[in-house]
Amino acid sequence: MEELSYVGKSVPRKDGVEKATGRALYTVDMVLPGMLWGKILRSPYPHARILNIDTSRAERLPGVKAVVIGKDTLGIKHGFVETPRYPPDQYLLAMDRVRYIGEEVAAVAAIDEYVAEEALNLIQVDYEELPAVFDPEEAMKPEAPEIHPSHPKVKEPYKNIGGKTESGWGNVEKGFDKSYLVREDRFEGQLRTHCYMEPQATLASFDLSGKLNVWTSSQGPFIKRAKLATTLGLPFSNVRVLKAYVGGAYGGKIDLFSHEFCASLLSIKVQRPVKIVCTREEVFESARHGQPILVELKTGVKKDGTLVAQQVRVINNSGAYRGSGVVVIFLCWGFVMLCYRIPNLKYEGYSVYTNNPVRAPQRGHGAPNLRFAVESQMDTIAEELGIHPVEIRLKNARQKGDILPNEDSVRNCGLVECIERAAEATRFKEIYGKRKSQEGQRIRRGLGMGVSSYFSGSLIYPNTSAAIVKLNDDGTVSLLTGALDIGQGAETILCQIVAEELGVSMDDIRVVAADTETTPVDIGAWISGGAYVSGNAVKMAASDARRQLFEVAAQKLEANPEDLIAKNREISVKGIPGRSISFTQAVAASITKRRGNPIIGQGHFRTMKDIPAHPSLATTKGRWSDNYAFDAQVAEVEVDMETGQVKLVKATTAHDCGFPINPLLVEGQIDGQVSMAQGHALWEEVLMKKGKTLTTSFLDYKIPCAKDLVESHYIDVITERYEKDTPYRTKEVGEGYVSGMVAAIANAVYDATGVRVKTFPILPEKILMGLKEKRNKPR
Amino acid sequence: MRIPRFEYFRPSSIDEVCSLLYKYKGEAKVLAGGTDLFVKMKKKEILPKVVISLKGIQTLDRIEWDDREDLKIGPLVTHDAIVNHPFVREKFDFLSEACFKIGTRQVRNMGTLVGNLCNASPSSDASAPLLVLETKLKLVHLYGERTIPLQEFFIGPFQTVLDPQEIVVEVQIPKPAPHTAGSYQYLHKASSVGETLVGAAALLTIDPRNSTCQEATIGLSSVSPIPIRAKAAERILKGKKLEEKIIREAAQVAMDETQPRSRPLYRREMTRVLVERAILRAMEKIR
Amino acid sequence: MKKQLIELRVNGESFELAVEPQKTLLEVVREDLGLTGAKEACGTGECGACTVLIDGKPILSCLTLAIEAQGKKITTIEGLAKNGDLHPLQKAFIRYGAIQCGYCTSGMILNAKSILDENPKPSRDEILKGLEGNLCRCTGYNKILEAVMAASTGED
Repeated sequence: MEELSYVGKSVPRKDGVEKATGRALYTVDMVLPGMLWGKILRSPYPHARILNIDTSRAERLPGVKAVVIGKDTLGIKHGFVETPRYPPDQYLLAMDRVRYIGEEVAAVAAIDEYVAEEALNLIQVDYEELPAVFDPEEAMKPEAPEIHPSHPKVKEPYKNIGGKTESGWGNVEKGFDKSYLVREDRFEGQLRTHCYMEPQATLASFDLSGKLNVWTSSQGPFIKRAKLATTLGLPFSNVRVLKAYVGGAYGGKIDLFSHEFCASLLSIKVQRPVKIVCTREEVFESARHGQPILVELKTGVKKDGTLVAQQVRVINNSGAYRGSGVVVIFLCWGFVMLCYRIPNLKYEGYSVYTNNPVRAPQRGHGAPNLRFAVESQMDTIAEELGIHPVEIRLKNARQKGDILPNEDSVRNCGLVECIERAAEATRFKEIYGKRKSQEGQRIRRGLGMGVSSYFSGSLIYPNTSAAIVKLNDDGTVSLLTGALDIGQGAETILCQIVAEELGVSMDDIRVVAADTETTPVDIGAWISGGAYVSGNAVKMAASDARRQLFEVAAQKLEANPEDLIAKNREISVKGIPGRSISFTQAVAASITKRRGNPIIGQGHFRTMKDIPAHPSLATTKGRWSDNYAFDAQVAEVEVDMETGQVKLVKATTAHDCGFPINPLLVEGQIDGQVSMAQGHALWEEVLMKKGKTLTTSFLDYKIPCAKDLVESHYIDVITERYEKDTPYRTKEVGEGYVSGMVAAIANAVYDATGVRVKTFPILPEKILMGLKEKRNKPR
Repeated sequence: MRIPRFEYFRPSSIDEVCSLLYKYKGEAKVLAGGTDLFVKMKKKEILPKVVISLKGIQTLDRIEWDDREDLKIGPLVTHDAIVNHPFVREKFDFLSEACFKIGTRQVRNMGTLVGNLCNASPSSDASAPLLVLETKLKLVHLYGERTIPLQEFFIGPFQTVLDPQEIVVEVQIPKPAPHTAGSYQYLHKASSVGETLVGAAALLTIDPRNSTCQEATIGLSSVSPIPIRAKAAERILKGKKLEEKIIREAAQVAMDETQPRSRPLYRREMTRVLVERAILRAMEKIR
Repeated sequence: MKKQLIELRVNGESFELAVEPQKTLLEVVREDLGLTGAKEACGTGECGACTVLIDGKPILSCLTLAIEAQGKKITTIEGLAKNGDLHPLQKAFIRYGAIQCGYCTSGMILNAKSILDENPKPSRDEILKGLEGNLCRCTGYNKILEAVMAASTGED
């Protein structure tokens, strides 16, 4: 790669000082004059008809300024996905029916939280309970209560189907017939949740000019604006979603939520700012958690371990509305076919309604469950064939230039290198499979590998990112980008790109971000395209600014634009010291000589250049992404054979992320995902009973603490490069490393104990149970 | 989350506290560290009209020992103070270790041992060590006082015999006999912090002349509605030479004395494992 | 409930405030003094995001009454930098990538400061045990540990 000064360097975060000094403002910190506090009334029943709502007593309570219910809205539904096949299905405030405990029924705005809470208690709702169902396989049965009519395009006689994805190629039956070995397994993923430290929060302020200003903890303001405006019946230009720092999201803050709508509606009604902050208990009980997915996997292989055929059936428990359920069953297909070559595939995914709170994407969005299943089975197959787990993966791994069955190319896929280097770094071949030699030891070690792949940007509203780079007349730069930093470092890497293109320092650049009114549109921090899509938009804008600077400078310096370089806010002629002008002079010259042109660079980028839209969620037909990231991860665990407790001792991540724009930030993403994988695989679970959440605090739902720190190693597999004046390709690093690691942990547990656990989390008792079964098994 | 409204008092003597408790008859709660009280109030599990803070009575923040070297701990003494107290670390090391396990660094700076006992969580880490040490509690009310063994203090999950008008003013821990050592072993519910899944404490006195176990007390927390003494297991050990077979038997018997409600099979099994480990560790310390 | 007039000493400055008894130190600091560095992530004492230092010790301000914080030296994250110079821990957190979303950062840095003030050269395990009460969902704690260790060696 050419000599770069900023891109590819571990530059400290742009917002580091603000965050380290407590000055960064999150939505929860925002205060406006005259602000009221809002609270939401939620359904106590998992399934019920609303017969009547009486808000009169609440309205009369001193200090209450407004109360809203479903009837006060335009009755416009919304959905995570809004297509002709999957039209929006959820009201923001329940109308005549509630379908999960926690569903929003009313909202109040009052002078303080005490009054608001009291007001909720004074709202009288008459419900008629309806039969409810909570397990997806139960919900599919013909005798199950109907939550919504099954999707009309689904032919099977199942109930409560929110959506189906069907895909495949070749002939799996023939494939199984000619396979040397066929295995069938079932893997169950649990309900887990994001646990972002900043709870869901929104501040909405409707002003007298008819404009709604909203600060909300989100993953991108543009989709929030679109959905808010639509459901409130306002033009997009009347809704401004502004930037607030975000205290973590991991997929749980993408879609429009009721409290955002209610804060806005209340503010419109009462013409004062309204703030709603959900308590942690509320978040556990009614916010959207990650999808619990069931995977049934049947795989046929040749004697040498080459995959012949794979049949996959996925059932997603989407909760009471479609949510992102119909997306995850599409993605699960993707996560099956990205890593290994599969000549024959049959895939079927169902997203099933149950009377539970709606589920949302959570870091990996299906990949952790899928890779857990595929990688566990791979290891089992390898063992049965007497092949090493690394060998079987290398045998089947996609290679550079492979064309996927959907006609996407994996381009510079570094998967093989990831597997080889991860295996080498962890001495996998020497250490794995030494279970017998540890017999009699109380503490045993095990090694496991998990391989994964993730798409880096795809087509989903708003389908584009744009950016503006303005030159200020003192030579400093303002970057306007709609991109939102949710902790992943978006503002920092975008700044690095501007710094690289314009030859200015990071301190010379001010970022104005994530404001729907003043910054250009951006795809948001949830479709894994930040570094690639937003980055290229910013690159183009900075490049455009530089081009304009060089045009002016070329005249002044009597040189060719190609011979100019920009560095330290100066433009000089290559190789001729002393012949230069400052940015300030160039801007002034541009204003003078080019009719007041102050130099504003513009850029935009869209993934999937000429493809009209996202592939069909139902059939997977269509091109999906032009950019895929790959990784191979190795987990080393320690198991106490007496207590069954598992400790993740070391995690190694060999990642093909293209090239890291900021290695330090990439390492941080890896560490965070290893930590999430640890919790996901070993102990996290949201427990529910008949639609009621039992784990309602961090005491009940434990996430890793400092003492759980895992030694984390990184191996960069560089497969792309960054060059001036051409779009670059770098791959996502924010989601794909959870899935490889959870799979690796499960495999490592097997290596240490000989117990194959097929349900998450791998609780100690499951291991002890497995050991007991092994002891009792007749030889 | 906001704490519901209450009337606040900050008396300067125990007598004043008792008078207030008497006056407000069950509508008042005593505030020491606040780490349990305010959480319960925020969750609306309890809504006292009146909160009586002990913070104005500095004499309550004392760790003392008398000439017999019995330890006395006041109701304002924090877990952190116990963890770091040189006398406690030397003479009651496993109690110090147990208190180090409680909560987090911040919670230990605020929460008090007495508050923890009055909260009476079945999984309280201090309970098992205090039970095996045959701890007593001194309770006072406006018209009198009583001293009861800790064993009789707990009556159910989060329930004690403490009358709404009473307050615990002292934790009394008798000095262990010579050739005595204790150990506290525990497993977390999940991850490395937070609630204890199983807690087992063992206190053994071993006669150096003939290596027999003169006294044995075993305490268990988080495996029954209240923290308990595993008396049947104790009887197995008393008077015997503690060989592997005896220890295993005692651990097995201890397991049968538990009544775990959730994850029962695993908790029972872990009781057995941890009681064994506690006994072995205590024995090591005596040598 | 009737408000009480109290005086709180925060970051070296004295503030006179009228507060109801149930008002927590966290609420006062955030809502009355505008020092929003301390955060609420749970409100029930499990996350540590509300950590402030009282007489140098890390405590949970969401479970501390403002009226009981009188007469004590209260330090919030805003009081750490002196005359615009960041505290070594703040510098280290930035340099070592120990900050992502930043929500846990204030509490984490203050608690880390109290650990280093007590023991300038803590072991890895002592640091991790000390920070067990500050939850972070973004970083996995790896770079946080690096930053604290770097600050403890006096690296600047």
